[in-house]
Amino acid sequence: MNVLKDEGYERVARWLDGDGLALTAEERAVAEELRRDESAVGSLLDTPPPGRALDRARRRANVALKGRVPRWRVGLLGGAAAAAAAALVAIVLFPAPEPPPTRIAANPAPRTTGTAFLAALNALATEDEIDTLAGDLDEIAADIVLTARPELHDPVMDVRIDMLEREIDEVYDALAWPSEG
Amino acid sequence: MEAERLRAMIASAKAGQAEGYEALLAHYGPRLYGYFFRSTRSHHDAEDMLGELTLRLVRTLKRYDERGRFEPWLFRIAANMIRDRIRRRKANPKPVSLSVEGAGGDAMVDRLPGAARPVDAGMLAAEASEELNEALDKLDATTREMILLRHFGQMSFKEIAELFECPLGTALARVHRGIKALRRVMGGTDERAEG
Repeated sequence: MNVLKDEGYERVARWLDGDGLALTAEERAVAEELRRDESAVGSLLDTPPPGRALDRARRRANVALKGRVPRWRVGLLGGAAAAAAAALVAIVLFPAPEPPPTRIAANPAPRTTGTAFLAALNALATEDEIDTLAGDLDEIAADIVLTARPELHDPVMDVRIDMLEREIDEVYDALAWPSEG
Repeated sequence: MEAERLRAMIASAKAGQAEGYEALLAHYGPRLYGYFFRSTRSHHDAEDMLGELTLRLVRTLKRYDERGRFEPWLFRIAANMIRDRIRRRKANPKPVSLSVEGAGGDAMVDRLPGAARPVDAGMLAAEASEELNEALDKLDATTREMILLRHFGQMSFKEIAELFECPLGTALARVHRGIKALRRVMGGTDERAEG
């Protein structure tokens, strides 16, 4: 591997960024080596996304765009959907006190409570209800993520955000493969 | 992408039109996904983070100033999400589940003895991808992020240096050493070029 001093690396960086510098032979060798290596590794790094990842992102964009006007539409849902949404919010934002931690029981409780939520979700009648619920979940997720700024770091909130993420993942899995729920 | 087309996409998205976001996602989605996947080593997390970034984009695009390049702006958001995630994981380590997937999307439980399956091209590709992830893991977090942002975010060294608040020469030296190490681990180093 060709090695330069800091000054040399800086000149190579500027040259690779497009500055019209005259490089020395050593600097040019580093620049060429880096280009070659970046190209070789880059082709291995690419990972095509599954179609559903982009579909889900598109759907989230659409929901967020629509969500600019009406928020918290849970009240418009039918009984089962409203119950499921309310259960989710309660589970995530107001979790039951956890038992003292042990080495084995390191994973918190929401998985179990999530099961109850999913049972309610499975009772949803229409696609519109599911869409509305999914929209509200996205809104909740976005609100929490956007308000949990690093300077307000709070381990309890971190745990809740992780829990929320897992719950929402489960909901999306259930929405994607309802027959497996 | 031509600057004109990108400007039109951004203008459409800023105006709140779904088509604008769809066009941005179609163009940048695969690279963002690749960045998230290589940073988290999980397809599940990558999908989740792509969705989360989309939400952030809808909420923050109005703050994007067209005088700056869009890609670094977008990938800076992605990089901050990865940093937040690392910070949160450090504060609350998560137990590994047997359902956690590998690079090819297979669960760890599938890799237990007795779960052997016939070798096919997909498995070989997944194995190579996993090897690359392991090689990336051996790099320090900053160097890894710099390499990923160079590739997926197509960031210049100046933009990398600004993001990581380090001298320009340091950014290049880190990427140079890191990428060389990756090639060595992946068995692709051209020894003749080593001199």
